[in-house]
Amino acid sequence: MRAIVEISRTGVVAMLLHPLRSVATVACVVAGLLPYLVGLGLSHGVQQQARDSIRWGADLYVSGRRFGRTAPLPLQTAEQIQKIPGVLKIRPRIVGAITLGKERRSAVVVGLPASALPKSTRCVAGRLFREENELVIGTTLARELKLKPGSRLPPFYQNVEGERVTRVVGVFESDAPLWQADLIFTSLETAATIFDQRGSATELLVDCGPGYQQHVARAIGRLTIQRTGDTSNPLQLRVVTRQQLRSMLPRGLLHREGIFNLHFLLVFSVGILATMATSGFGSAERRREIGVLKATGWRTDEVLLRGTVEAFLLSILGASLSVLAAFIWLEWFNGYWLASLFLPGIGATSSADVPFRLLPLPVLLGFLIALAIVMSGTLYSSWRAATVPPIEALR
Amino acid sequence: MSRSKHLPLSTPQGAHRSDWLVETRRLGKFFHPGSTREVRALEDVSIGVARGSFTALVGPSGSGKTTLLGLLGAMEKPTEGNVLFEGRDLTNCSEAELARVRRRIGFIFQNFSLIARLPLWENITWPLVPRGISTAQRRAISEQLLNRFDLADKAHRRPEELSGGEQQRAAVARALCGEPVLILADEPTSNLDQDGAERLQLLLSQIRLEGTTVVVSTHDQRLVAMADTVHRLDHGRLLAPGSEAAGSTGG
Repeated sequence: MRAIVEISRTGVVAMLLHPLRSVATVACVVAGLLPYLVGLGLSHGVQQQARDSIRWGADLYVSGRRFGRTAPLPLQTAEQIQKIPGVLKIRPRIVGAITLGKERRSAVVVGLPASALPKSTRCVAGRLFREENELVIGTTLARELKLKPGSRLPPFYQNVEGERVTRVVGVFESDAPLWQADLIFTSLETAATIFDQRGSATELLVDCGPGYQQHVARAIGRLTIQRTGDTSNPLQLRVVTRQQLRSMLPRGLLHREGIFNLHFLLVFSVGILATMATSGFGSAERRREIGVLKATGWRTDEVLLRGTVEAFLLSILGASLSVLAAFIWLEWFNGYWLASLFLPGIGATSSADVPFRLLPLPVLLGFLIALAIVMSGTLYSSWRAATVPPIEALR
Repeated sequence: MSRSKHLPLSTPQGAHRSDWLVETRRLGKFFHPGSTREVRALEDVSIGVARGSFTALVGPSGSGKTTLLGLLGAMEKPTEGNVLFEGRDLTNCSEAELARVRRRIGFIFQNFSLIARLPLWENITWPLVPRGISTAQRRAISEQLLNRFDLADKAHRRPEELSGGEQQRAAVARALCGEPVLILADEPTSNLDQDGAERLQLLLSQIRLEGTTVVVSTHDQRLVAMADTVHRLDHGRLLAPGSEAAGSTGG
């Protein structure tokens, strides 16, 4: 036991003895592991937000389709659905895209009753909307467009009723920072005016009593909605349940994560080769050193134990640095560049706070990968030197 | 099947077979055997080294002295013939058994072979690490050895910061740290100046007086003069006592 401890100690000494080799090996580990951890952190962060959104959302999402395309739903639909047994509450919602300011900043307007705002949303300044043409905007959008409660937005829409000046009355923050980046909340009426869709909604959010979800979903599917004056083309209702959303949303993310993992399998293979190359820094010296050890009575397994301890320490160091750097990349640099792989459309530099979660399992996986890279990279050269006769290693 | 066991062994000067610490029987070492590039570094060499003796291997460069030392020190395996250490044939020993044998031998290399960047005190005591000797104990042992070899003030220096003579003394200290029964020294004075060579000669005679068996390969007449037994090699073959190899500097 004492011998193992003493040999292990020489492994620590060996790491310090060859600083260039150690730094190069750690750099190889960090280069491979850092983007991997950042990617996994982003993927898990986005998945968590998707799960949270579903949790805070409705039991059923009802939208309309006509001619195979999404179509607005008449608000009377809500009255028909309300009659179905098991339906507790219906929240109509209008969702549409607009551009703001001379910067042509894209934003999404969500019109809904103030009482139907997501539970995770809270105002950090001002208040929620009460009257028409009042807007509540996300912190990111407010920061970018330098808006605050009381700011007036020049007319950004025009319809049959003419131009309207809208007013920011509040700035909100959400537990799901990504979703607040481009969102503007307003009343259903204001949104209907903006998009010229009075009497309609983009979708209906239906809350059901426990156990009624499937029954209500089927009942809604059987409803036939006729628009006034149009009897030939009834509106079809499309119902998406909370369970369906739960399975749909992460599926895309997991698919993306799977592709990311596959790419990194390749990266890690290259990492092993790179580590083998970097461990070649001073390989003649390493070979000679091992030759001396063997000539003075060290056994092959003792030489390999020393190499294993050295590789273990280097991999722990590399993995720890990778985790730290990944946290900095995600927290301070907002997942620069990599975030765009997981969140299409946000670009390399997102002004919104990109969600991330560095979970223990991926971190542990990172340590194991680092160990595999360094072990395969450095132990091979040690093993080769240790298995030849000492006189040959010294030659 | 080895032919050697049926053949008589050349008798070292005055030594009885049971006194031999290490002996070789019809030893041969070939590089690239069987190919057109085959080099016979050593062929049909049978010698015995008595316990407590001082043996010199002499011969011109390339005569096989270093190869023979390597084989005596269990550093590699012969192509043919046998090496017996304390009566045990090393030919079929496992790698671990050979390592155990090497722990009983101190090897002094021509180029010192100290581990670069490692402080001197660690360098000379690293052979003790796999024996489970603690760092504190190794420090104490290194202090004794460094004092003995006038290197006490160099304990934390790296090998490249030392003179050739100091490095060679450190190499001797390392060879002695495990209290070996056999010291093998490969041309130990070839890289030293006059003063350094004399100092090393003195050290080796002290080691021998302490009862440790010493085998040196050398061109140095002073070391040859110290030897109880001198084996002359030429072109990998052992010359008969009294014969002189062309170009040999052996005495």
